[in-house]
Amino acid sequence: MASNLHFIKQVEGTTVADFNMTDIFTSEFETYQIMIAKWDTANDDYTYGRIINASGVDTGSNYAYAVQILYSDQAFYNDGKSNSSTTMSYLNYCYPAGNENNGGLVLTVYNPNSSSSYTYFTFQSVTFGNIANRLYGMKGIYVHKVAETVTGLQLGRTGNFDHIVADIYGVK
Amino acid sequence: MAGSLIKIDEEIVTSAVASVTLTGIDSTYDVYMLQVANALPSVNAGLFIRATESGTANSTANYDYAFKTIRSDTTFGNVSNTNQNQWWLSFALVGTSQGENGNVFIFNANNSSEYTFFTTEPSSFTSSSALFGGQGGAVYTQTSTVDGVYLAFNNSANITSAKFTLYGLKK
Repeated sequence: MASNLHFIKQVEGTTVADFNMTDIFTSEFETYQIMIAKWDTANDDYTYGRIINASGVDTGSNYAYAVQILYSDQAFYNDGKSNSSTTMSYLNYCYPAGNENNGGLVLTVYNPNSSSSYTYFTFQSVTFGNIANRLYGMKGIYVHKVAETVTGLQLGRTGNFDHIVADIYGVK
Repeated sequence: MAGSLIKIDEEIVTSAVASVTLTGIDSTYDVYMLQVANALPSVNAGLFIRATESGTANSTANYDYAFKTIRSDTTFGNVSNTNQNQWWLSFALVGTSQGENGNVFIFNANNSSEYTFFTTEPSSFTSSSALFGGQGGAVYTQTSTVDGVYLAFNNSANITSAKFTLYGLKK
């Protein structure tokens, strides 16, 4: 029996300040799964996201988020922002080579191709920093509060992605 | 999970209906997944879920749930209850223009000697313009054969737009 989880494509970035996954959302699917298991970064920092539309990356104050950060060695941290966020913050926390075991991210995207609804995200991620001996688990939700067609996603941070690989799936 | 999601039933709502029932859960798969995309109510309301037996929703007080709320507008919280007539996708009161989204995994539904369990991971937009979601679980505390799910909004709201899809996870 044919599966309803369709592999769309793999996107790879090498030594990039911003990791752009362009033209990954189409009218063929309403819901998508993005899996990232390869994260090599130049320094330690949080990762954030922004959507890509017909005009490019939306850097406007059009995002809201609610995220819980689960540390292995200290109290959990919650953060949320309803208005004026320019990013979808706290996707994960990565350490540079030699100090990291940068794990995985599962991101579900709802309604990106709809021009009449907002685009919603749920995600969870896990990474490990050897230098801090700390597990970082993150679980959260995002919304891009513009009713427009979203075609892609950009991940950013302060510092380069040395190597990052994302697998994009459509859910039929 | 690649290559393992098999569509069982689907309802695409384009004109107002009071409720939607998705069926087809049987012994073929151990785990099923319900996906809700952009479910909109006719008035501000929350989307609730019941188990179906032989295609009929069971509204008896046999649902328990516990849910961690994460939201963009205020501190996170906890929601729990026992012996309820239904459980809720996100516990959000959503408005009529931006709705509810989320995945629900369903366990042991077809096993008549076990309770039916649900996990939920929603992302919704409330009528007060806050992003609302979280993580939680629910249980239908009846040892019966559950063959599907029933979805409706409270506050006598119709479902005006939505896509509901039920998948089996291939063994």
